[in-house]
Amino acid sequence: MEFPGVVALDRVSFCVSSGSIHGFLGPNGSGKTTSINIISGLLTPTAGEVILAPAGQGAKGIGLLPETPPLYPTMTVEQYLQFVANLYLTRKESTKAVEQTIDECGLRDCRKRIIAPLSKGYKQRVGIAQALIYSPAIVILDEPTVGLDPHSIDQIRALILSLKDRCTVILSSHNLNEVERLCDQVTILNQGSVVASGEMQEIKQNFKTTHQVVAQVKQWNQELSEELNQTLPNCQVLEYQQSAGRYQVTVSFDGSEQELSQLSLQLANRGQALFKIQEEEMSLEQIFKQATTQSGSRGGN
Amino acid sequence: MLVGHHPFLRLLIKEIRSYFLTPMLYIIGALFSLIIGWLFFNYLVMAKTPTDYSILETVVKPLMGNIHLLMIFIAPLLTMGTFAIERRNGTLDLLLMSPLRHRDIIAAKFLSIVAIIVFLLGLTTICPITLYFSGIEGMAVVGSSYLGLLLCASSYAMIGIFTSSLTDNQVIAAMVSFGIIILLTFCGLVPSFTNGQITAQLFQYFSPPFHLQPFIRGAIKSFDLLYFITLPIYFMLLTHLSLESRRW
Repeated sequence: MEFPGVVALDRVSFCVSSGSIHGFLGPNGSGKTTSINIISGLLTPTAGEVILAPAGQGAKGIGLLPETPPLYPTMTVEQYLQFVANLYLTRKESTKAVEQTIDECGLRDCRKRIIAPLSKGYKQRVGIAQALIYSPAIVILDEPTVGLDPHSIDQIRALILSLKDRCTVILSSHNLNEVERLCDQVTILNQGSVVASGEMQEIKQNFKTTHQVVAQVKQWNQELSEELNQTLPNCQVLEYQQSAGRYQVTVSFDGSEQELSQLSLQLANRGQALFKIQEEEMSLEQIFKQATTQSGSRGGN
Repeated sequence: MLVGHHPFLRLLIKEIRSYFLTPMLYIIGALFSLIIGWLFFNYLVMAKTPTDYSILETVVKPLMGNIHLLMIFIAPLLTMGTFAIERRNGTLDLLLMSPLRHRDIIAAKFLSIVAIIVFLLGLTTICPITLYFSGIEGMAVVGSSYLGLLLCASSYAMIGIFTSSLTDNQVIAAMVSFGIIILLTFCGLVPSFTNGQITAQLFQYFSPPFHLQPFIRGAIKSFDLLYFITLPIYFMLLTHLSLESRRW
């Protein structure tokens, strides 16, 4: 996708599995909204194509919640949803769909209320409802929980999870914990290019360059750290701290099973007692930061 | 094809309803009726003085001219929000993603405004009706005048819809459409400044009042009808291009 003087998206290619929740991440200006607009048919790419399955579903099979929900402020919630449903469905189908979506999105209390004075949370729910009302095969949600209170966030997240297997969800969010909790797959964009895309676990594995373990031992000091570094050259004690009468030692190692067993033995011997040892998993936030800073230049991996 | 298209009808009904649910239409309607009523009263008072002219010449024709003048101001006000508000609310994308085709959206917007123009013109029919019950003859001229006004105001409305599709700022949309309407109107004054017969005729042809005059005189010519059909179609095509350009 090219805007005058700017290549907004460069060789962006990723697959979204049917029935999955796919996280779509990237820093501001990375091309997420442009990609979403292309997928939903609102923008025509200068090159390339979007292939939607089932074949022939086309853009009409996509429900979109943009960052600002598209609402008619003078309509009531029910009138608005009825109007959107009528654009896609027959009168009979639309009446049923409105009732179902109102229940699903928790809008029963405010169905007769004008949209304009509704709270941001309710407006967001109405926005989600319009994206779901005609049961599209693909639902794209751009920042669905931004600005909501914790209760509303939980409800919206539960709603998104309930969509799994019923339709394919593309979830764009800056809340990485949310994406990590909800999504099976993730695509990370940076400066208009895909820097990572695939199953969440697969990406975590790919980005794992150094492994870390956190161990709780009875005794630890600087001398023991240096001894461990000399005994196991592939291990590096990163830090240790005392808490509740125990020492928590963070060690990086090369990731092999053999190294891990040797490390646990050394920690048990030198630390007088080993209470707990745990391999730390890289969080999506760490992956995101790593992916979006590594790929300063276009192309990524 | 359009009439049978269910989503199109839903959009048309929604558009008409949204106009009648906002106070702007009633404010415009009240001011419009007030001005026309006051002018009608004054023309009637002046018509008491005996002249060689009929009441159609002294009351109806100037009244129709004034309705046209007011429509130059009203059309941009009515249409400034048609697409500008949709763009601002993000609902234009909702419509563009729906099964509605661009031409359906434009047609629904245009026809809803035409309905509003019919409503506004309907408010002024009290004047000719009063004349009719007073025994004044020549109501066919009144009919042709209203047809001309409807066509002319609809053309202005389509210009307004086009400018509204260019921006999300209603004020800019109204000012640009008003500018285009005034520019087209002034084309009719070119013959006063030029000796070139062809240039004068060419510019005159672009002027809506030039084509409205025969209607007010009671003459419905295909020449003028063609103008009032092609002008909105031309701006419909431009609006279509404007909507299409959002995808580029």
